[in-house]
Amino acid sequence: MRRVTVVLCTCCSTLLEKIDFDRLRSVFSSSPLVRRVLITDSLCEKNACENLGLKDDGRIVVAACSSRLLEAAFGKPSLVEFVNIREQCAWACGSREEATLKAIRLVKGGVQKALRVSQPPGVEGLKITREALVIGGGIAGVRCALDIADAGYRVYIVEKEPSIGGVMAQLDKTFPTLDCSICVEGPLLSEAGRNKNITIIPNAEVVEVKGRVGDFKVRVRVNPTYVDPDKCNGCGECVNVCPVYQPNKYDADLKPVKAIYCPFAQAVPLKYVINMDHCVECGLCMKACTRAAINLGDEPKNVELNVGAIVVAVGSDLFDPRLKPEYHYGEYENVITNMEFERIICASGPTGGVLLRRDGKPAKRVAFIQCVGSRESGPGIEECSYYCCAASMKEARLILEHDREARVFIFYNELRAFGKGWEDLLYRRCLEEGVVFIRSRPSEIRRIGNGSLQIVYEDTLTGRRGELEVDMVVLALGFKPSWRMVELARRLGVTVDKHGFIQEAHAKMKPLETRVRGVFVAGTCHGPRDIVESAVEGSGAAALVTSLFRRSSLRLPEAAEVSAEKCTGCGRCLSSCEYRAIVREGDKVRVLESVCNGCGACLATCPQEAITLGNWGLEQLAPQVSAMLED
Amino acid sequence: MAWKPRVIVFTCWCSSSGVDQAGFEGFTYPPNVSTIRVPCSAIINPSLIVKAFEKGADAVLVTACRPSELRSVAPSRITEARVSLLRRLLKTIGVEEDRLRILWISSNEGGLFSREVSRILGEVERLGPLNIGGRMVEQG
Repeated sequence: MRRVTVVLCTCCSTLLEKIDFDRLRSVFSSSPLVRRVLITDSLCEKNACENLGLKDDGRIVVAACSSRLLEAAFGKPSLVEFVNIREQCAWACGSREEATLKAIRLVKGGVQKALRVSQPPGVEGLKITREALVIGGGIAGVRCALDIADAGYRVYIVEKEPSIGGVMAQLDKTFPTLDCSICVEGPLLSEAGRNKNITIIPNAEVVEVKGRVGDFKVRVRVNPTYVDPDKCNGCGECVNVCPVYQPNKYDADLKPVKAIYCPFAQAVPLKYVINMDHCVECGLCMKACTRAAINLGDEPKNVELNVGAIVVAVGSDLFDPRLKPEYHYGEYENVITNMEFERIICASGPTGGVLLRRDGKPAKRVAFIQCVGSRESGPGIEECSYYCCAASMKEARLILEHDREARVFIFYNELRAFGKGWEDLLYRRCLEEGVVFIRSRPSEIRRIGNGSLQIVYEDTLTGRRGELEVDMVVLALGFKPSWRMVELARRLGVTVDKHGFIQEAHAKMKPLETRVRGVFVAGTCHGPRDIVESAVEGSGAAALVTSLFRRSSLRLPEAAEVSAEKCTGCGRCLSSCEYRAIVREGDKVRVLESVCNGCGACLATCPQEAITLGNWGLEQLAPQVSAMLED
Repeated sequence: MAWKPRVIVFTCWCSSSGVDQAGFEGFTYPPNVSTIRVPCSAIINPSLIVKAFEKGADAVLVTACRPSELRSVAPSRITEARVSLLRRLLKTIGVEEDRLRILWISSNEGGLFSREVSRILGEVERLGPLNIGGRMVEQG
């Protein structure tokens, strides 16, 4: 027969005057359900369990202070049932007699529960695969991968483009110091390429994620590049013979490249790829390639990865300016986005760094329009996009650096120069160099002869309406995650906010974690950020990953379980889960153990009683209730 | 000795802190209140509450997080819906619905818990003992 040990704590003898411990001892010593009764005066003392010789006692009822304080002293979960005879009994009762009777009642309940609890299964000693997956090879992802790799763990970077680098690789200069962007990032990229612990999987996307923290099974689809990366040495002979030109995505589609191409000179890995949308399959490159690396029959491949942690650093798309018809982007050729501007002003860009319009004339008067797709209730997002004030001021200074005669106007709403050095190096310099700031959200851009543009605006500081003639308008676009992010989030089991950014586990306390344990975030995929903050977050996520990997084994909170035999798939439990840890699988439901927090909200929704959570079922609680009402 | 109602209180993890707080701050309440801590109020199966009445409880209280304080209001709302449905069911079998209550108790509201429990016990005392088995026989 199962029996329990009852341990009573007098709380350094302070409870002796409130509760008659001798009476408790005599009541429980005579119970057939109790193996022995121990009275101690400080259970919270170090090694109290060892000193009392509780190691082999199995089921134990501990009647002491709030388990909130005591649970830690008992370390790992075992068959211990805590009864609070201090805060909820001795301290809450008017007399010793009352408190003693109440204590007896509470302990009786505890004994009944302790007889029926079972060891929580599988919560300890779970395996950890000490390899990480970083999705996205932008600055956040690369920084993160390098930090994890430097700590001695293997990292896979899955990148959808042919090269890692992300948006930072496309920028001309970075703010506030106006140093060359790729010159800063390039060495980091090649370091990642050389690092023995880093495996870069370019042209690839994550298509399926299964498993839990410490043991994720990830399926990655590698899209065909038609060039064997193991054979290609990046010599570029193929490019010379390729007869087809296509717009280069890296250059914001402004500069042509051949159909077989390498996106940019500092690309990592430095391998050529073929864009089949434009390739005419003439086969000239195959003849030119001395290493027989080209295979026009290449097909998508699947790669299976087993990793212990995943960092999502996929970045974010920018707002589509076509959704703002008043600015006529895509219709007026001299209305451009700030990303196009970055490529035009870049020395390696389509015009060799000279700010030219499409018609080849130099742009002498340039206006920036801020907050396109941010801080609005329209098609964009309500939030500030964080980077654009600084970016536009940087771009204004770049124009004036190239051409002292140029005139630059910035249409702003609130100018936010909050970062380190931004006030001095950006705002004050812009003012000194003659940039004109106009507080307005222009209502329209009109086209007036020879490709020139007229901006219609109302200056909200003076209330005056005006029209400004310029050669070129640059739209400072806000962040707007694309539907691809929602798709990826669904595969990972993480949630997205109303704008489509990935939701953190807690905005302040767990800013780099998601609701799925073992899935972390870094960079603009969870909200607008700049380069510095993205890199900081990459390092931060890496620290979380390595601290996970340093543990010897994993412990997860008790998770609810669904009995496949009893489940009828009615789905009533689905909406009860605050953490959305219950998912449909076939005609049944399944609990995602990495997501479940063990609250038990689903249990009572199940008409089949198919869901159980550790020791919180009717089976355990009903006898506890009965015992408390016995006398 | 005069009859005193026997009460079972199911406390969720957070409101259990509030109950602790009552003792901590020296607020007393009647001793015939037995507390059972569960991880979340929504775990409480209605049949557990019925069981408590069947075994002799004169009242059952459920303490839960204030919906306004939860990140998601789901669990407290689930509990609220269950309790109000159960109250109606109890009424149809002749049990005063006020014997089952839900209380919103935050983890620091010890004083509130003590006051509310004492008040509700006074009310239950006026209702008298609940002999649920006997009543069901009476009703035929």
